[in-house]
Amino acid sequence: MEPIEPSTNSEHIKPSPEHDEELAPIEEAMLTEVVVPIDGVTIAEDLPALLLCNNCQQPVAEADRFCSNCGTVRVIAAESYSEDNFMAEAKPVAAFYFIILLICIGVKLIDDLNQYKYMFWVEVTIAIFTFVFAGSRWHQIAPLYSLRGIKPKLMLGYSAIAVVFSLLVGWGADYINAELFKSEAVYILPYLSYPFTAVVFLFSIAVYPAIVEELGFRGYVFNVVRKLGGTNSAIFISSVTFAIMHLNIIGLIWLVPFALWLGYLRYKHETLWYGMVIHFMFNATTAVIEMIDYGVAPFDF
Amino acid sequence: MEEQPFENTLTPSSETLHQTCPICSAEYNTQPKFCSNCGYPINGTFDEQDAFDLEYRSQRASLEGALIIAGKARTALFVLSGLLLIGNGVIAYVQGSAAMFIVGICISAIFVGLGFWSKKKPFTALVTALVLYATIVLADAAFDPSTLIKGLLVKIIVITYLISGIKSAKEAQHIQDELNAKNWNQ
Repeated sequence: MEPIEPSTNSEHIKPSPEHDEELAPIEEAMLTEVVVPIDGVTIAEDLPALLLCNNCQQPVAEADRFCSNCGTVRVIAAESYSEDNFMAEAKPVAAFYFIILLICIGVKLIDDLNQYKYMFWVEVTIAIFTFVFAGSRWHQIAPLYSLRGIKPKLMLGYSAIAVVFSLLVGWGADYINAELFKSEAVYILPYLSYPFTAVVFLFSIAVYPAIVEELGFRGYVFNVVRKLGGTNSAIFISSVTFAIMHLNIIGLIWLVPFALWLGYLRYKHETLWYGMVIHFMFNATTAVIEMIDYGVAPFDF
Repeated sequence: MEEQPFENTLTPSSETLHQTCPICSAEYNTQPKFCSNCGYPINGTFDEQDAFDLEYRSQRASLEGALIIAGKARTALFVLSGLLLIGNGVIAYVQGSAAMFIVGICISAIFVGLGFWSKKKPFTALVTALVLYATIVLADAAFDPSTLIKGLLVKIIVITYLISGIKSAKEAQHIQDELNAKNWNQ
């Protein structure tokens, strides 16, 4: 190894004037290659971008909305509108909502369905419809299941809020039911006659809705409505359909805000995970309180 | 009558020549053929200016047309909430149910609220109203099929108006986006 001696080596490193001249044309060629505009966009960042009109190839300024030479509009609305396209997109999502709604109405109507041995098959049916409709747009929904960017601390915070919200709603609902309707709403009764009550109950009340309802409303309905009417419409309409589907007029008071929160989080984080965990924690809190009330041990095998 | 192109009647005398776009009031020291802010052929021929005028007016007219149809859906919502108030009031009176009376008032109030909201957010408000109304009709019919026949004409008219209102609201939204992109909102 030769010892590094800057004082002696510097002469070799310094480019000679001839060397400079040799390099210059190459550098120039490289520069022009970088600056060549592709569809009015240049790659070089520090050089001023040369924007050209798509129609007449004359230079236009960044802020221009029209080419001052030929009058062609530069910023065009995202995609052209046609009523047929709109209806083609709207019909399946309307069908999805009304299928789920009719199943829910059926459950309210036929008392027998409330036995879990039937309710299980109702849940399976709803899940199948949800998977079929969501599957038709799976390429848009699949990225919402990515675990990348999920923050565990944020998840914990949201879960805590969900538990507190669930407790408040539980007390509020008990109060309204007792005062207004002289009744109480209990979910656990149909499950008490089965073995593994706790497991079946928690699955049906907390795990299943967190998976299927989130996929259906925050996944499928949200995506379709966002395409039809924009993000705000998507958050609101996915929430309203989700809330009305529960067929509980008093319940709308807390279902709508809860769903709006879930819809907003789905938009903000572009993921279904926060919604699924919050939905699970919210429902599980209610379920655990009922299990304590009815003396059902969590692992009562 | 011979129409002279604008650029020939006003010959540029110096670099300080000042022009203001008559459509959007953008100011120019140069002499662009088209206003780069709104696309008006500021120094184009009369024919070009006429063509611009026609397109400008027709787009604004289609926006107004779409908003009128959305407005009819709004009126249908107000009428509906009145009818529901009367209908539910009668049912509540016959049943002697205070809870039914409160629920009836709440439902009417929701539809009135959606009606007012549809001025600001026609698409979202009208879709919500349609979902809510169709759900009420279906739920009623499931518990008592005879309710489907009662006032069938009103149900069909309301739903038709809401659906055409939603389509028009969507169309209006789209035209509005285009107008925004073209700076044609003045």
